[in-house]
Amino acid sequence: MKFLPLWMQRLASPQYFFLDIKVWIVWLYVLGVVGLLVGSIWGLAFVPPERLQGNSFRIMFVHVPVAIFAQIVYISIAVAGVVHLVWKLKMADVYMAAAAPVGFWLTALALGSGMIWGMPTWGTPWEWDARIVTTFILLILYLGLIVLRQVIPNPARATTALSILAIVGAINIPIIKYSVVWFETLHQPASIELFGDISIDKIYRIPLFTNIASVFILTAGIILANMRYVTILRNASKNWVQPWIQGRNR
Amino acid sequence: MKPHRRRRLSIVLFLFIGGLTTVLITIFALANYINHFYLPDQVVSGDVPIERTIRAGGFVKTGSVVRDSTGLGVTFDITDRVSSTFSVRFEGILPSLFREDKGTVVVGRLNADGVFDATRVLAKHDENYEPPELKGMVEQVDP
Amino acid sequence: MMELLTMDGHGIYVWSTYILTAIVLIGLGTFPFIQLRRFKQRNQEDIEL
Repeated sequence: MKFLPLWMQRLASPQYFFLDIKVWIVWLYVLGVVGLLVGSIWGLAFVPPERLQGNSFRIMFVHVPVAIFAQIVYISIAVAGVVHLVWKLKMADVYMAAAAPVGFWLTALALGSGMIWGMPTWGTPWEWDARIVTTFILLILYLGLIVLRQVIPNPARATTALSILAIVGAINIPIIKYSVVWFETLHQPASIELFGDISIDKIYRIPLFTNIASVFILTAGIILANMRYVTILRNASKNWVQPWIQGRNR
Repeated sequence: MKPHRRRRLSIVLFLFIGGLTTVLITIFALANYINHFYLPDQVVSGDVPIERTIRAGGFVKTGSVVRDSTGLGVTFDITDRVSSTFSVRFEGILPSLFREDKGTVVVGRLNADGVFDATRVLAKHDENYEPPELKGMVEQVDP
Repeated sequence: MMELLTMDGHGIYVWSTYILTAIVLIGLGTFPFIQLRRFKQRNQEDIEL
């Protein structure tokens, strides 16, 4: 850890993580909310309706960002699971506890916005096609990560079980990604490829990419805020918590 | 890296790669069940069950959509744009994105004559997002 | 202005998505801070007793 700058080394200690991270959370919240407002207002009012879908395509500016991060948050939890199993870092466990509910709600939003979008475009809110089923499995995996901690009383055992579930469940992510390529689905193929073409017109990219970046920033902020809360819960008996409760420390 | 950590890391990687391989093999073995609908060539070649509720999909053949003069009945052809085409009969309201030369999924039964009696028609939309063509606006400015 | 609300009949879908998303994100963002405040209050009461 010696190679890291001092402010980063401080974050590894629960006490300084709790005190130092608050200013980060505030800035991430502000930036994320402003970005989402700009991107959403732009997407709602300042771009023309899509050629075939009309105005209903404006749901894309919400659906695509939340669906992307529903998956990325899961990958990050699986990485934290590897870190926990191999290096036993306490922070990895805190991260898994903090990120699982965020991922759950992002997945729920991806499914919810997709169902609403499906009504005017497909003519149905729900079809059991490969993309929708695998995303539904993702929601259940997140639920498992949340519930497992409550049903296993021994914290160390719970974290190990969670890590294994997170890593094994990560198999679902490439299947979600390629479900629309490998199988016949009602869901359309991807519009954005990381190393390829973007089949979205330039005028629609500005609000979409603004919202993708903003959901990323806001998600990071919310996960850090949750980590801050989990940190104090796990350290409730420590000496440094009392001054904070008495209001002598921010 | 310390030996016990390297050992744990390799167990974790083995767990993931082994699991992924197993799941992928299973998925591809079951691909026919995972596909959401039958393609036109499967319908035409008789690979689909007759008089049972199934889903079939493809592109709506240009110029094939014929509406009944009375009622909500409509007949159209679904094609794979290559060689296979079958006819669909449907009574009801088509989704607004249902267009000629665009993707569609129909739910219903294939009867013995090879005509698909659809109870539901869904519109597939593609991954392209484009603004309306600017032709109309140009004409307005420059008559 | 009305056009922005109705969106040619798609308004109900578009606006319900945006409102739903706003509610969930606000809930997610405020949850840790509400919990933290509760934790603080709970422990302050403990000391006074």
